[in-house]
Amino acid sequence: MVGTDLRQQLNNYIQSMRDQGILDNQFQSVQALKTEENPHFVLETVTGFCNDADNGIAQMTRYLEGPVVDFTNLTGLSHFLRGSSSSIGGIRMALACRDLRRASEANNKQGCIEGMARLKHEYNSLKEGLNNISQIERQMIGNAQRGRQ
Amino acid sequence: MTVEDQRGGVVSKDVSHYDKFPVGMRVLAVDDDPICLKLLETLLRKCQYQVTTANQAVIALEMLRENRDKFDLVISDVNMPDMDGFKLLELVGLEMDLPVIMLSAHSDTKLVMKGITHGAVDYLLKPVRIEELKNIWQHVIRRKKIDPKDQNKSPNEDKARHGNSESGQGASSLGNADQNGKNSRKRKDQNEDEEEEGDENGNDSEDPSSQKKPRVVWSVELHRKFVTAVNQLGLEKAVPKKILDLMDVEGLTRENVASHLQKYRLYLKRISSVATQQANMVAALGGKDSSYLRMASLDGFGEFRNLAGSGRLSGSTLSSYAPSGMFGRLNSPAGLNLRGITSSGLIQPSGQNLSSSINTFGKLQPTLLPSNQSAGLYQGIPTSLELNQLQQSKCATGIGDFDPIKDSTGFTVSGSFPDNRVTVGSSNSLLSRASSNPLMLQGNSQQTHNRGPFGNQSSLGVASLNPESFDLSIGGSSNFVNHNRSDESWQGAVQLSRFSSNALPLSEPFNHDQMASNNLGISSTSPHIGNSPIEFPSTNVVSGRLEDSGDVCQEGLIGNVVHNMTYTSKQRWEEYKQDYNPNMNHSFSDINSMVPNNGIVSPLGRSLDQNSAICGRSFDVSLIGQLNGGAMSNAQHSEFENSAVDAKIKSNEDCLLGQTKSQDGFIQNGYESLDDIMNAMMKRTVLSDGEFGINAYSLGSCI
Repeated sequence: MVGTDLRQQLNNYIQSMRDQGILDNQFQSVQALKTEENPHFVLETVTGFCNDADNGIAQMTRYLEGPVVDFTNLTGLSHFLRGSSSSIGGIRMALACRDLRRASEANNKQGCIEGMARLKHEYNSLKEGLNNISQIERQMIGNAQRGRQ
Repeated sequence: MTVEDQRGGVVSKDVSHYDKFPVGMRVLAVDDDPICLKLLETLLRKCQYQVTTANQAVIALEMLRENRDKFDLVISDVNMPDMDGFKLLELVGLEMDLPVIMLSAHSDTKLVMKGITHGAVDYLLKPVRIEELKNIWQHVIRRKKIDPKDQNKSPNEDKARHGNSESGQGASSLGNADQNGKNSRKRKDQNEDEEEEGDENGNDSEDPSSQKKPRVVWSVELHRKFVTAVNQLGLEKAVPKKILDLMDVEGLTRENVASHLQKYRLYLKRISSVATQQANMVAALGGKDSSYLRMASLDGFGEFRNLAGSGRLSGSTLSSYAPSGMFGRLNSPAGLNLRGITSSGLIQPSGQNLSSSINTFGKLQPTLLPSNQSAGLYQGIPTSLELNQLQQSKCATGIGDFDPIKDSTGFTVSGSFPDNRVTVGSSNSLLSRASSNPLMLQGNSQQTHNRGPFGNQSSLGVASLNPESFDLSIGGSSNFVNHNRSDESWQGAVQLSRFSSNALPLSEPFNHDQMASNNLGISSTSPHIGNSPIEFPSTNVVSGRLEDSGDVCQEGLIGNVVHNMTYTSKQRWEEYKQDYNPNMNHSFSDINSMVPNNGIVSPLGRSLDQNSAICGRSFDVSLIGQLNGGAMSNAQHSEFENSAVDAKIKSNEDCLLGQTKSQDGFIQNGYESLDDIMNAMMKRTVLSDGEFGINAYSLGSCI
């Protein structure tokens, strides 16, 4: 019961995120990878992603705010995050990364600053959503485990 | 996944886990992004593959080097901090000969192209979907089929190889160029990967089909030695024998080195010519890689690995190349019927996949057709003539497309090309093939490979455009090629291709200028031709002829050569006609006719006539005629050539011979039709001294 409710809740939540465009179908694929043997898969992935993204964004901010903007590294890192975010389904964030990358390749500082701001914004909403999902997931897993016991 | 599945298969090579293949396929995944890597790994496991991961390219390389047989497939990200994904791709291809799939968040066409040219078997976009991963095992099977591992080689595989690689294996297959060409062409078109495989096959030896030599693994050290040796000798002069000596490695045979050299050349070309790909070429060639110019590489040039594949395919590919592509469409009289010739895959050379070779021609063009790129088709083909330049990499492109000469458009390059020049070059490439690598692209005639494939192809010296190497396969057009490469004599003839530079823009614009430059060595070669046993039956004929033209030859040697060839070959051609792709032979004849600018033309004219008869079908002849026209007329030729070339090109059907006629007069003697062709072709401008170059074209085109 609880499990079902939770699952339902989870689905609803995910659906709403998709409606907002924050997540896309890819997240479902990620979810589909969760198996009996590895129920934590989604959790782990999400956690890992958030860590990488946090670090990445902090690093990019440093590149951008230094005395001389380090476009090369900025480009590389934004590309990297684009891959990560698109893999997890964070489509809007991925797009923001792509735009940031373009601005960076063009050595457009202003464009980068704007892009960075947008990226952070998108990331925050994505992160929030993912955190919520994780929470529900954890609950579900906990319930399932308790249920098994 | 159930453990028992895959694990079992891992250890033994193919056999054990082929049982349940694709289940249990061993994949190595490389990506610096941990999230993506994790996802990828999970997805792959879901497909029931066996997965090993590495988050750094160097780690992955180590794993692979430690035991190459531990893996069936490699998936690698493009953007990695420690090493460029493309570099990894090359290394894996070179050393381990494993299929590699590229992965990236970018869908930029240029990147995808780069991936392909570097030998990737596939290019996936992130995020990766499981559906896409479910099919990746096909790349492994395909490769295995074509590339029978030595250790595992089984008769079946061999046969499969043969069958499969027939097309790919230019070397041996070319003999049957026509057929192979056709087959190969199909194959090529359908499956570029085959090339790789074919290439692989060729790796061991020029004649893979019959050999089962233990595959030589080109490790980093070995390759480094190789590169050192090559640099010492100079890329142009590097010949397998010398390289082998310099390297001083036990157990390494000249053939190993030769095929590796081919690949290496293709690879270099690829690198430098990626940008140059031209649509023309592609179109002309049929999409073959410009690298083909290497035609010589046809055999093995396929980028080192891939190139090799292409090379192999070259044999076949050449045929597939509808030279038209290169030569501008041999159909058009100008189009050196190289097609026939090159179809063998001449064009393939450059490794990239022959199919792309044509494309490469586009690239080649820049190099080849100095003057007129108009050749358009040929342009792509930069024809070996230009091969000088192309030789390095472009080579093949042009020629690759040659369709089995059948179309006579073989090199239609000439014909259609506005530049026509190129065609010639391309033809050369093709021819080169036959001729030993003639000019065509390789410049290093050493390529024995070429010979093989060209045999069929009328290698019209087209390739020869480059004086040096062009062996103008001209003689070779289509059937010639097979003849042989032994050709060195041909090469001489082909050398006419010396066209130096302009690959015989025979095609219409025959920019005489080009021709001038091209002066195809034909003259010089002619002696060869005459003398050289050019196997090419026709070539011999041609040679003889060239002698006559003597004067003429100088100019366009190629023209002459062709001329001679055509001449002599004409006779032969008549015979050949039947055999050859009608086009090819004719082309030579035409070329011959063309060649004699000065006066010799007449003979050509006659020849041409004959050729025309022959050509009737294939323009090839026209090409030749055209070529001749082009080549021949130093001054006259210019027109001639142009006309010839034009004529040829234009009159595809007309027997190139007619074109020769156009040569202004040269051919007029007998060729009425040629005249038309020639006129059309040759705009007369082209043919100026450089005409031969054009001739080369013609040749090429004829082909």
